[in-house]
Amino acid sequence: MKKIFLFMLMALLAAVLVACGNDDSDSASAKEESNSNAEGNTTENSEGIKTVIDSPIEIEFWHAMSGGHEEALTKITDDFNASQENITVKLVNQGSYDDLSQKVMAAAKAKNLPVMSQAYEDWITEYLDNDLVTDLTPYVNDPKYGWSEEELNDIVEIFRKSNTWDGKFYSMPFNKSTRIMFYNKDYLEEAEVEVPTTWEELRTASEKLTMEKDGKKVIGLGLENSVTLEFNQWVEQAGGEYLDEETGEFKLNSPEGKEALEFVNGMIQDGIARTAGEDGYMSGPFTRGDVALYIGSSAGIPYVADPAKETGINWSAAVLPAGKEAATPFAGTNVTVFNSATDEEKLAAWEFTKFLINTENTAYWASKTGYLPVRYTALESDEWVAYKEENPVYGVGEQQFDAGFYDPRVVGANELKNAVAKELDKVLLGELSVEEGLEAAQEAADNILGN
Amino acid sequence: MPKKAALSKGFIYLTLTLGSLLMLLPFIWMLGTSLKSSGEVMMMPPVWVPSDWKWENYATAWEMAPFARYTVNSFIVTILSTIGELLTTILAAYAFSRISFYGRDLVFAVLLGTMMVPGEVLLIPNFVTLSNLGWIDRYEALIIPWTASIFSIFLLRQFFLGIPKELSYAAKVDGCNNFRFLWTIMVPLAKPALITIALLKAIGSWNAFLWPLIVTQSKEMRTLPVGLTSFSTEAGTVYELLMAASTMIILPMIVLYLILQKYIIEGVARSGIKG
Repeated sequence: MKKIFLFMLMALLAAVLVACGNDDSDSASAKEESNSNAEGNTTENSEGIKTVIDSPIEIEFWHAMSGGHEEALTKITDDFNASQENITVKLVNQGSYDDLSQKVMAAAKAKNLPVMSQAYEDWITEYLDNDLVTDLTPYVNDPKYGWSEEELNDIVEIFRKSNTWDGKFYSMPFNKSTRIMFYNKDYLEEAEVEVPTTWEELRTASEKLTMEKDGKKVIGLGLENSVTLEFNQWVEQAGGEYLDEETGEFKLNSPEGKEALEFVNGMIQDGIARTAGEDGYMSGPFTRGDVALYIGSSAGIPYVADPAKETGINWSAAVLPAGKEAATPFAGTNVTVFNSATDEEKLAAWEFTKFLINTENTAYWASKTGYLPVRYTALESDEWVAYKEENPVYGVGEQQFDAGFYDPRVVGANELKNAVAKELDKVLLGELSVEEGLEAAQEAADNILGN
Repeated sequence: MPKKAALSKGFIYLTLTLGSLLMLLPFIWMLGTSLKSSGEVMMMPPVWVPSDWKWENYATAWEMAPFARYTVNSFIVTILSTIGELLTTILAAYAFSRISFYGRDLVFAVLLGTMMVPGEVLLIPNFVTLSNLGWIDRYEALIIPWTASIFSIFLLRQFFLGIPKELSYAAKVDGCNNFRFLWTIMVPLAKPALITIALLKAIGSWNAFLWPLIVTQSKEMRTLPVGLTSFSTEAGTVYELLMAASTMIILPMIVLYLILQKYIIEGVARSGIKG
């Protein structure tokens, strides 16, 4: 007995010691942080940026692109390095987005952040709160290094908005995707259904397309498992919103939210829509011919295209059907520059950012990866136009630019979406009614937002 | 009687065969999938034998990342951290089981207490420590933090405690010191336990993913599991290539296990003194 007690005491002591160790490193790094921030970062006055890069400099760019995406990024970076006398950009792959996010946090604590990184908008909000990112506005406006009005407005409006906080640019759009509706051409023809463009048509089409085919059951509409995680699409289409970024107010528990959830849940309960379930992504069931329509990310196109060649599915894609309004989420990451970099490094990062998303490169990037070009002029470029002619589905995304919106950019957005999705899933599984689900979602959201 | 024995033997073998098949199913699926075309991967019901064998998946997978370099790194890290852990474990386990010193059990209890701390909590502080040491993106970071394991010390200490004290008395009478006794008598006796520890360590080290990813920056320093991320993107995974790469990666571990298997069984079936 005495031994056990002693043992427990020791375990407690060990835990406390470990915790102390953490505290120490925390406060030490916090001190350093305030020191490094005290040095300031304004290099700019009315004449513009003072720094010049006159000696060789290497900057690191952390990213989470793999496979073919990484190849395309490497090519653009090699071109940039070849074009520069003094700047070398070193690409560092940090695994998945989750790994990248963890690593940036660890590096921020250890005071060895890279010069630039890919980042989602809500990450940048968090970095801003911790004063980790550089305001790019002076660079954008600089007479020598910046963009003209025309060049700036050439960036797609929705992306300009999503990279602006309080009127300042803290990042630039890089790899952007949207959600589109894939459809099985043969099934639609067979059921004599037009491609749906509104909610009503979507419901009718799903009803008609739910059928027996060669002894297997086909369901009309396929939804990704993440449908509840990305529910903002449906709320916005119903004319509401998911979260008010200004006030931090959760807005799903509203008449519009109810309408959206009733619409989606109704189709699932009636058996004319299904989620991917154990298949993970809907691209699998769709290319097997188990569903006729499917709503998913444009980043999934290659995962439909390749297997469809094998299974002989005849398919295409279209813009999302509109509810009360047309609304399409745009997702994907941006490039951001960290505050810990020297003035020269920041300027080098800006030079690379400009190069990465110039008309030619954003068109090249899009045609190699299936992401969207982030400039209007790139939509007209020969390379992109030729690419779209060959692969018409890649042209769908840009038709939705004007209906675009982006995810709420609040700290903890991910946690919030996950908590809400958990409750909405219960509705789709039939465990909760629509009203109960929205109430539960509200409660979960309030918990996280601290309202 | 013989008939009965044969029957029960037959039944035992049938059960074992079914059990091993069940265990092997994921491996069979992995092997099959590594040779499929992308269309066949997602078919329902699952296809077990590909209609046409795509051996080129292996070549394509190998090309997707600098796997040759990753393999070299994985071997270096696995071998060195396994040797390192064996050394520290042998010394610590002997001290905790055979040498009496003031506060011994207290120190041991504190060590066991640290096992309660989840690794995720330690990730960032450890990263900061290594960063201050200037070890990021070097072999030191991949190897040194993993050259001690409380669990292994505990395991070997228990094994040492099971070795009769008479052996050490006899050795002492013959004028053998602690160090020599440990290396010439205890370690050979503990071979099965040590091989178990080494195998667990090697597999853990070979499969480690998050730590190598966090403490390395350049492709030249990364290990095989990090290479496996090349086949996944936010919109899906190229399973046939991922499975081809996984098949290649687990081969060394399977070979290692087959070689060491008999020692592990010995370890269960024998103790220090023959009865």
